[in-house]
Amino acid sequence: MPAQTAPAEPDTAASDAQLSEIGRRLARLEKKPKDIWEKLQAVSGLLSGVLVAVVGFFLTNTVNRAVQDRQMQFSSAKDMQELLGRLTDPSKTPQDKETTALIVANWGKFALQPLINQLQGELNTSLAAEAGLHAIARSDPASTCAAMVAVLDNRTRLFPWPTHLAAIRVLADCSCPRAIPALERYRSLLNSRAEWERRVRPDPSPTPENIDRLRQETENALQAMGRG
Amino acid sequence: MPCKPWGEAREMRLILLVSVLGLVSAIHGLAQLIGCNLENAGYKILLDDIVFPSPGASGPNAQVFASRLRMRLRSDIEALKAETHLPFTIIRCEGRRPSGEEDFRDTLVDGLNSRNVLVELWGQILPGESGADAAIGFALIPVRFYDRRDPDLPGIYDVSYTVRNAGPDRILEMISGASELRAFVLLAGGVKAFREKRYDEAYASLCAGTALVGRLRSSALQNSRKPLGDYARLLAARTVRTALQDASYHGVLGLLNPGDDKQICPAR
Repeated sequence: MPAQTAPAEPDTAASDAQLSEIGRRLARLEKKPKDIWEKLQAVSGLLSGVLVAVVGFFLTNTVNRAVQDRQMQFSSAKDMQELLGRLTDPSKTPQDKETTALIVANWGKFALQPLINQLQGELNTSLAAEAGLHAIARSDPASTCAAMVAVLDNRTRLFPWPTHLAAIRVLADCSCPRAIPALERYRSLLNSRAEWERRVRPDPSPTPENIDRLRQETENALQAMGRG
Repeated sequence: MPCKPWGEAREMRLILLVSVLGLVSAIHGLAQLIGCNLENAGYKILLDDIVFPSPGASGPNAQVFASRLRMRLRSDIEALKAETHLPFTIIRCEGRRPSGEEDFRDTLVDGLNSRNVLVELWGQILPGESGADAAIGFALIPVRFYDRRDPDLPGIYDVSYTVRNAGPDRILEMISGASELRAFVLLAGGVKAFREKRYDEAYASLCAGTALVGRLRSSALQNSRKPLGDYARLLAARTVRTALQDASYHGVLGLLNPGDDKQICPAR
């Protein structure tokens, strides 16, 4: 029988060293604070859920409001149709037309465009439409202001000069500071007749008296807003 | 109108007053200021309806008379256009019937003035026992617009024409030969020309209008003659002053002295 040699003694020192090293590393791992990315990663699931909910809420609200606005505009147009017919009826008296325009004005901002279109009608219709716009200016000056500024700033010759005149008078009622730059631009434009004519529908053709009137009303509107 | 003895003149005035009151009270219910097409460029004279105060009043003869009156007024205005060289067109406004001053509110007058309406006229006919009484209303739009705060210048005038024992022909002659239409068109045209810096035209129209205002015969305009005449003269003087101050003006008014009344619209 061969002689049995005693098993080699394990290298305990090396093992101990290894164990200590492992222990030290473990301890480091346990104590190491989480950095921002780790924290974010931890809450990312919750955050993304909340973000989707919030964005979805606002988007849905905006889209819903836009859709409701469109629906309201469409149904208003249908409801206003008969009244707008009265406004353009040549057999109606000026008083009838003015009363009709004031009823149309109850639709607020949804009545702005239909009434602006009627400014280009015959005289009684135009006067009634302007009265309606003044009524809306008192209840919703912000929307009216924006619509009138759009008339003055239009560059496609959509509106004749009487419509500009009415828009300036309605702006004086709105007293909205955001109209001041538009009125100042218009005042400068009146000093360059050729440039002004490029923006205004040519028919009916204005006389020098009409141009003076536009200037005067623009100054009046600016003065009403403290900028004359 | 020739002078009449006091008794006859008083009777005529009573007839006139009753006629006018009857016309006014009856017509008020028929007043209708419907729209008219004013979209073409240039000055305009609006010729509205000639109406009858009550349904029963409009017999066939009265209808014929109304048509003749309208045609006579139209031809008078055409003649005036040739005479004065004022560039206006006549717009016939069917169905439009102002009742009087109350119909011409500030906003409407502003709109009419912006659309270059000089004068609007309308008429009422009240058939009488012998012949017919006619009342013609005149609205001088530029005067009413620019001088609406002046209580002596309402800008709206009602002129009645009545002659006892006279037929429609006589009434038509009276209306046609009367100075009112010419005076009012000249005054209104002069005001517009002034506002548009056409000084020569303004001065000529205002001076011619001043002369005619002084010769107005209608008793209804008795209280308006002086204010209208003064207004026209003062505006003629202002026209000269403004022309002299305008560097672009090189016309004959430069020879006048606006401070010298005798040089402004001298009597012919």
